[in-house]
Amino acid sequence: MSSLTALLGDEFLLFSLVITGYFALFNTIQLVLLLVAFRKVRQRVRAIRLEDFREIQESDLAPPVSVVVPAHNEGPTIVETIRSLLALRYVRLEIVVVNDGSTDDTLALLIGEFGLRRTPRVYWQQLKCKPVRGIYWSPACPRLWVLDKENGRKADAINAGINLASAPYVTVIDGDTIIEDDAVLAMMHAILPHSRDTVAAGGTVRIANGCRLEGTRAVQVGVPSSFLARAQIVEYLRGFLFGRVGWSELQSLMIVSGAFGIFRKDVLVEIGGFRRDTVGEDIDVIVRMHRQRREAGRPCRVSFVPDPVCWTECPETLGQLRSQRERWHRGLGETLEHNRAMLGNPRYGRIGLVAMPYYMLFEYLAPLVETAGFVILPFGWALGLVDWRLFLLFLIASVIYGLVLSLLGLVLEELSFRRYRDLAQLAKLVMAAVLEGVGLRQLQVWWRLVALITWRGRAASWVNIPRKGFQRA
Amino acid sequence: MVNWDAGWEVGLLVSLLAAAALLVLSLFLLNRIHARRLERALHLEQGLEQTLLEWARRGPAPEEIAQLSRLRGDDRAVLFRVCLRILPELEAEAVERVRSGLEHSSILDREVANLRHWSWGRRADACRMLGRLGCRRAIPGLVERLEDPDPVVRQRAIAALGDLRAVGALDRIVAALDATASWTDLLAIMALSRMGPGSVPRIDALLRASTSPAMTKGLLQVTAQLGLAEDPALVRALARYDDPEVRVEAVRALGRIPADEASVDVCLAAMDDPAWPTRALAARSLGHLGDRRAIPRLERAMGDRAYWVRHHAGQALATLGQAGQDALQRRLADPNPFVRDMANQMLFTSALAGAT
Repeated sequence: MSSLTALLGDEFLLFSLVITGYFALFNTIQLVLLLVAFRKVRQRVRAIRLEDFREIQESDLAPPVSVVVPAHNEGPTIVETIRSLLALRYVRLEIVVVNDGSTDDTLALLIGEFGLRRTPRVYWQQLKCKPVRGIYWSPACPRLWVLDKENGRKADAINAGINLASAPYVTVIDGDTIIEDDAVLAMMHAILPHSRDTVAAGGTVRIANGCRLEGTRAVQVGVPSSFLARAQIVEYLRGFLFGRVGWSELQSLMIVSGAFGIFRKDVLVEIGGFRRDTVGEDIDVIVRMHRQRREAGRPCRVSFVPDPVCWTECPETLGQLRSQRERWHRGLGETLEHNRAMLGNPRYGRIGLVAMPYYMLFEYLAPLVETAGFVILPFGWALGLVDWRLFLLFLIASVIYGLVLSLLGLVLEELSFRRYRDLAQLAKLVMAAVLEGVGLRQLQVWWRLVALITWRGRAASWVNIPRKGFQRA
Repeated sequence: MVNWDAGWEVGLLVSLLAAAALLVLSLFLLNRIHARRLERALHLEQGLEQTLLEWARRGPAPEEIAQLSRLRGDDRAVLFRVCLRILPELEAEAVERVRSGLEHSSILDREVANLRHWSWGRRADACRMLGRLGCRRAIPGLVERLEDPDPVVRQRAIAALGDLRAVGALDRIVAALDATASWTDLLAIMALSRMGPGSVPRIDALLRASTSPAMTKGLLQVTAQLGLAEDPALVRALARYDDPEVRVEAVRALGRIPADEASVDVCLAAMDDPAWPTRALAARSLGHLGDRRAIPRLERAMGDRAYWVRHHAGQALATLGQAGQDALQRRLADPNPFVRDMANQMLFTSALAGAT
């Protein structure tokens, strides 16, 4: 053993230092984003304190918005989702539901519930998509359109919905999502001051598991009993509240969540809509918007607005979570590959020089480094190859620093939106933040590593999370 | 092997763990403070709602006014939220009673003073409260805020002046139309639109004097919103302006102001505009103007190469009574499939809408 120690000593130390430095750098970037986000979130909360959005709500000058809802086998939740959309506070709103070849009763439920009638609607097919089987309109809810088409996966369904959408702004939400009644108003309130430059904006996605919803409001925000769901709440808070806000403030936002985003229709059409050969269509569409606009020398602003909220169900089993995370990682890999010309290219400004390299180094390739760290360093320490103090430093950089950031995310939430009001709820989230760093985080690294290594050879699969349906008040 | 001889890592670990513990403690502490504040605010909200509903019924009592005058900053925000919630539900007389109570309290005085507060948040809140609560003596202060260094405050001041129908500040708001921010433009247009018919002569005068396309476009939007123009000939002349965005707005306004034959002629001419948005808006305006002379041109426009022109032409025909419906029926036999499909859609939609 001592000869092995002597043989590997310096190299192992260097390796350990690099891995530790990597974690420290990653978390420091997160800290910088948090500091940037802290100021922005507080500013936004202050600005909307007495905002009733009446100027937008009552004006027919406010731009119309089409909400596109791709739905594939969303039977358990689709009616509630559409009801919540019909209750949205935005005067010039149209809802386009795309039934993407569902094999369940999604279409039948919609027809029955909203009294849909098949119509000979004519529209401009600007984006390619699978054949449309029929278009339905509801005389009882004239703002509601349902497009029935052959199955072509989510991006294809969104493209079909964009074709039918008549408004200059298109909001894309998932079929299993409930958006709060003033979410579109709040989003447009943030977009309109920069409407000439803004091509897309995203809102906060919150986890509905454990909450009781009434109409478009979470009347009782709860913390789910499942640890996995709790850990995802902490993760989402970190990701949305300071990750996305921070990147948005640095004008380098590369992703708008597929669950709730708003886009300028003309720009979507210019780039050919959502890409159908990737599972990460939400990140891909934003990167291509940046690419196309910058190549054309036109301004491109992608914003994140923290206060408009949508609620969605998250996976509660390891299998579902694994499938979701593998898909996300594959989507990121596909996007980086499709747009590799942007990586490090000054022509694309901050996106090419900052955001893309960050996503490549600290998101896409992260599983390689992190797995090496989480596997080799503990072994090295056990075998005596790594000094205990260096091992401690690694634990600090990888686990404790991350925990502090998660807690800062919870503090930011408490100082801004305060959705989790009970002390007991906060205590559960603190526990989830602590436990997430030891076990779940490492498991996710492993799943992402598997996805990183194997995605090229595998056909893209879409495993739907079985929906329990929203818990109603 | 390199000598790794340091002890500061333990110190770092302890510091970070201490920071984590401190964060948890702060989190719980903040939660309690917020919970207490929320509880208090809810209690206050209930009390204020009751008081204001009483005022709406019988007018304010002096001791209630005195009580209200003692409200602090955050409590005034609660009062404002209550006002926003209940005032739209009340009869005009009841609203006046509540407003007079607020006027007699020092609440509004403090908000007028807050228009010059060092914090942009307070200034913005003051603009919003004074505008929504109809405090006309705040107008000079709000006009001053149009020059505020903070854009949120400037925008709120514009909106508040619109709420207060401050026709006297109209020129200052119109000046904001030259701003580069489209949102400020939109707010200014909406504020001007809310000032009502009293502002029409001044809007027309400014329209006549305007040399900036952005300002002309904005003023035409106001005209369309108001649905009134002192000199429709001026609006008609602007439908031939160089800038296509101005032409679009002029044609839109012609469809909203009281109809006359000359406006129909201008809209018919605009159906040959090289810019499709102008043709589309002209088709829509012809539908609003309701003149059957437009039917042949609208029928022809259903074969336009731009989708939105076909769409608006079809919609306009559907609104032109039986003659329009007959025209759509005729188009069902058109050799162009785009025309047939659009006619079919419009007939179906109008029949369905009529049935419901």
